[in-house]
Amino acid sequence: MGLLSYVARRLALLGLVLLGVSMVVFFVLRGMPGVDPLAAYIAPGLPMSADALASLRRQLHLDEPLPLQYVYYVANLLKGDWGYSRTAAQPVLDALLARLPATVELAVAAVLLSTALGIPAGIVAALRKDRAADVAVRVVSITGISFPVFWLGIILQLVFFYYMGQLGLPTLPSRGRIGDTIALIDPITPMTGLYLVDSLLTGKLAFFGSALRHLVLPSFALSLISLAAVVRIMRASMLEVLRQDYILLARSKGLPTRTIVMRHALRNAITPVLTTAGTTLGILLGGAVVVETVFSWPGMGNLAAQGILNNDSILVVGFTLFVATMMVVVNLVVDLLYAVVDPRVRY
Amino acid sequence: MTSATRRSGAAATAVPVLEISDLSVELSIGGRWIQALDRVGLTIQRGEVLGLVGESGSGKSLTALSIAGLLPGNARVAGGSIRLNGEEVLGKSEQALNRLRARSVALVFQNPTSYLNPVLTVGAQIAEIFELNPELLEAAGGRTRRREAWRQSIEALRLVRIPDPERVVERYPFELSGGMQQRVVIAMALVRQPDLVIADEITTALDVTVQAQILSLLAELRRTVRLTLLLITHDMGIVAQLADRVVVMYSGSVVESSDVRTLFKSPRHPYSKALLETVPTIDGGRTVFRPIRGAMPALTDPPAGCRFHPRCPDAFDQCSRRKPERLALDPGRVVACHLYEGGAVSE
Ligand SMILES: Nc1ncnc2c1ncn2[C@@H]1O[C@H](COP(=O)(O)OP(=O)(O)OP(=O)(O)O)[C@@H](O)[C@H]1O
Ligand code: SF4
Ligand SMILES: [Mg+2]
Repeated sequence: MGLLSYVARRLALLGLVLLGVSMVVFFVLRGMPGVDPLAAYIAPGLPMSADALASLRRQLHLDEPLPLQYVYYVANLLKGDWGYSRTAAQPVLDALLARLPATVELAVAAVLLSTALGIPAGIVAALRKDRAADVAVRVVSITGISFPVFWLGIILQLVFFYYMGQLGLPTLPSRGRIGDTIALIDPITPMTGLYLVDSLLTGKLAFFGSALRHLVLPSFALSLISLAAVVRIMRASMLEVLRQDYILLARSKGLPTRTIVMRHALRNAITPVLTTAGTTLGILLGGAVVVETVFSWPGMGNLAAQGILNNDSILVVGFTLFVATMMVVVNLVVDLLYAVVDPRVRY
Repeated sequence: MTSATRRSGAAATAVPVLEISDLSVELSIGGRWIQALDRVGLTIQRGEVLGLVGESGSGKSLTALSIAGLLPGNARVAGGSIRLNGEEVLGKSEQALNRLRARSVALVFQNPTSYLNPVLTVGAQIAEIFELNPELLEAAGGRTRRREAWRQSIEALRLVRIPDPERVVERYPFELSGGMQQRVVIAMALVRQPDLVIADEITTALDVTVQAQILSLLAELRRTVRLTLLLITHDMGIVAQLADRVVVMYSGSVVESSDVRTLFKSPRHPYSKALLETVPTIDGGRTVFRPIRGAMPALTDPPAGCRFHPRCPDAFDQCSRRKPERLALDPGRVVACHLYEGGAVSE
């Protein structure tokens, strides 16, 4: 089977998954007793006549039976009409897409950070199994996951912004994506919407520096969500691989430990970490709701959090669908990456 | 080792390639140290093939792994000595052991599929041996070391009679049959021009016809590259076909060692006799197997006295009381059995 037909099959599967997700969110939302779905479409405090309400209800097909409503709902989704968000004062899809780059930048930085820290830590823990370094790595990563992310975020802000500032030390920004002055005096022309990429492409180094500094604390806070998982999986998978027969043969060749780990073990051990990177992204996007709120990061998660507080169900549902789509796509990409790492994988 | 001693062959006065004496190994099982090898001794002269036989679990692999310092993590050497070309192996640093593995001792294991690294090409797994032994590379003649190592890897594949070695060298192990994979592992052993090759049940995992091919390859290599071989097997047929001398192990100790012809003609130890009877013999046009009744005792619960006594047809009162000492019966023949104490018994 060729790569193309594999991707085609996976995309078909993606359609099914999204259908399932949309069904769940739709029926949970509309099926909730005592909640009139119409409420989502009218501005609170703006009085409307009963006639106007009734005609709005007809227009939105809210007077039809639930299954039929769902068909209308899906048809609208496919047309790109995801509803109108009161919170963003914008169509839902537009609002999400506008904030997508900020979230992507944050999530990608967090994934990179957690793998860059987690993979070496997991390897060291495996090689020093049950010795001091292993115990230290495990304690730190378990402690990391046991604290709520918003709390860690606030601690990071306190230490690196507030206390360091009090001591006259250099600080790291604790809110937003970019320094206000830089954004005013030397703005960039958005291309990808990713500040780091755009500023590099246009050669605005000061902008790049400010964006990078703003990214440090939130992406670190977010990376802590998946760091423990990466460490644990890398350690377990490395231990498993080191028990394999081909490692014994490699040792019998007289290869030094470094070569055995880097050449013979790592590529075999990394696959489970890749797998979780897919699922982790989902967890990270959930975590982004919290982290973006704590760090006033202007991304999708921040908007979704406001939507929740605002009872803006159309927005929240849209966000859920959007995240589900992203997860399925990322999982597809990860599956394709296997073939790069492991020659046995063919599609 | 000078070239003079290399050529002096199996003369009894030459320093043996391998001399193991009184090797005891313990295993940590369930928090206790259990004796797994009990004063094992064997000697191999240059150019000789020594068959090491015994049922599953008799300690053949542990003996082999000790030679290369590759005992499992829960094993320890409790005494004895292993001399390679006269030099003590036990107590060597990991670095010194790596040098020894890289050059002097090469292992070939049972199941080539699990002993080859699935994500590295055949060529990469052979050529890396030259990284450790650059002196093995022939005068490069303008070629880079890398390319010369690759060229010699192809030659090694040719030596073990792999058809189309230029193509196979680029292949991944899973693209080859089991027999071809085992030839690759043998090629890895040979490129080192090692003093000693240890072959641990290298045909057990293969089909019968492929087994025969590998065995005839070994027979051929004996002549062409003058292998010194420790041939581990539980198949007396293989011993008869390839070995010069044979060491019989039972439950962690050597019970008899002898040259092959003598052993087959007149086995002394009751276990050797029983083992020879498990060789399928043609009887009136039928193949007959006579397996040894009973099972080998568990390491954790060995019987007192001679460990074979619960299964021995010739056992008498002494046998369950005292461990039999090793007795040199004829020149070159050692037996550990109470039947022969005083050297009184003959055929
Ligand atoms: N790491 C280990 N932990 C516990 N027991 C072990 C370990 N390695 C070997 N043993 C035990 O030690 C004994 C000897 O093992 P060994 O592998 O040397 O046997 P063998 O003669 O090679 O048998 P086989 O023909 O099955 O390969 C067996 O009882 C085995 O179960
Ligand atoms: S010592 Fe006794 S039990 Fe052991 S092999 Fe000899 S006769 Fe049999
Ligand atoms: Mg074995």
